[in-house]
Amino acid sequence: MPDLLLELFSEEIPARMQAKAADDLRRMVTDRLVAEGLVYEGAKAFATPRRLALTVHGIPIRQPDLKEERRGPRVGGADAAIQGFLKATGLASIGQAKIERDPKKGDFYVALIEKKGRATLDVLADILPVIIRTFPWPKSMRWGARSARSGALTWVRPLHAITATFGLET
Amino acid sequence: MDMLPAHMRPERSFQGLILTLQRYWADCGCVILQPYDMEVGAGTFHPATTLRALGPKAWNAAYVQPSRRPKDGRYGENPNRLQHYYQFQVILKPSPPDIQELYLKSLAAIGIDSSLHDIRFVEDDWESPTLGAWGLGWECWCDGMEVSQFTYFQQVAGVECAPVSGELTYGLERLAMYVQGVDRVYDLNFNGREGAEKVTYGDVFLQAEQEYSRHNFELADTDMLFEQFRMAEEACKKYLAAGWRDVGNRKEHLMALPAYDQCIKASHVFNLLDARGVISVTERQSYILRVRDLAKACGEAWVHTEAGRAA
Repeated sequence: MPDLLLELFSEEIPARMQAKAADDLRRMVTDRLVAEGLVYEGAKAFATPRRLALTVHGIPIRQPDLKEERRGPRVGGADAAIQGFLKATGLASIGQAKIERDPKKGDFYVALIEKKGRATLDVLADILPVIIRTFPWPKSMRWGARSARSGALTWVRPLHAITATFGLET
Repeated sequence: MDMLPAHMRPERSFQGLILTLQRYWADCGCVILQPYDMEVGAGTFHPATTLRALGPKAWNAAYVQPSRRPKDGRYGENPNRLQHYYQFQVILKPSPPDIQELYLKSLAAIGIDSSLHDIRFVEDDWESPTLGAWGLGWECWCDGMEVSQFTYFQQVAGVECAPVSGELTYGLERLAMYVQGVDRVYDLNFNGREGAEKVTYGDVFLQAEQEYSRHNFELADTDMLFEQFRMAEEACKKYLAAGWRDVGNRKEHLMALPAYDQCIKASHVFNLLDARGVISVTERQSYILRVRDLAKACGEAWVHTEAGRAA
């Protein structure tokens, strides 16, 4: 299973902030990975005066497929309830739902939702920019020509390069 | 680099050091300005930094700025501390991606080789309550001694900087003492000559340090200074009020620079009053806020001028 390497290369990070920053990076990335159903083998973060780096080893290349059973309205219930159920579960028609029998309450619909796991590479491409943009530096700044417009990236000091690799080829 | 004659070499000559820095930053594309012709506490106060840092237009300038800090007078008796010294100021707007590299090369140009000296960027965030300004950056240390301040301005005169400028401020006397290997500022070789032709920093400035220390601490006319503060504050407000014009559907200002002069005049007069010991602890904050309000109003005026506004 591939390893993630992430390195953020900037100008000198205040010495007093380096250790916690490495820790925050590790925590933010691994928490998101777990929330996305990606269980990894281990993670380690590093800080130098100009670099924050993180390795996360043994991440599956795909998220697991998820199977979920969602209970819906009674069979023969109000049409609005059935339409709502179709909308919430993404079924094309109520014919696609199972029917379960409850001797006391009557028959009701159950949807079997299968969520195919996404490629980890795509998940990383989504979560890493958000983590970088919301990184909890005690003090943060803008820099360069880009700072002329709103919404510029902020970082503790100017960030020069972000390197991220997953496995040997990407 | 051309072969410099001995008397112009930065490691032998204080003026040679200044000329080398000017040449280096000119080669980097800066306009080389002259010092602002008013008393200021730092190169930052020159309108070429404080005002030009505002608005979207690009600006790259470098200049020597004599800086007056009345409270730092030591009657010429302290080997390191002066009430008047030279800063070398560089402002690069927008801050270039290789600004650290440019700074390190400027040190190499004056003889400080980073492969031989321990140069560090040590966290230091700058704030000027009187200018309503702040930035993040570092003190630059050379072998454990601070030689420059390096700041990315985030806000100046109460206005968010867009784009952000990089400011480099070198303490020229301190740098020169290090490069020349002297431990008393008055012993600096000023003109790089030897023997009868040699002029030292003390030959140029020792008497001034003695006289100004007496003036700053003992004899400055405080009644006059209080009045000057009031006059400068009033004039600044007057010029700001008089300068607004409606042009079509937008506001323009026509007097930002003369108004700003009064703001920095007030700031220096405050520093003199403070050195004379006539400003109480409670009053100090109020004076600082008064100057800051002037600075913010000048910044607001500036961004409505030709040089300060968006295209």
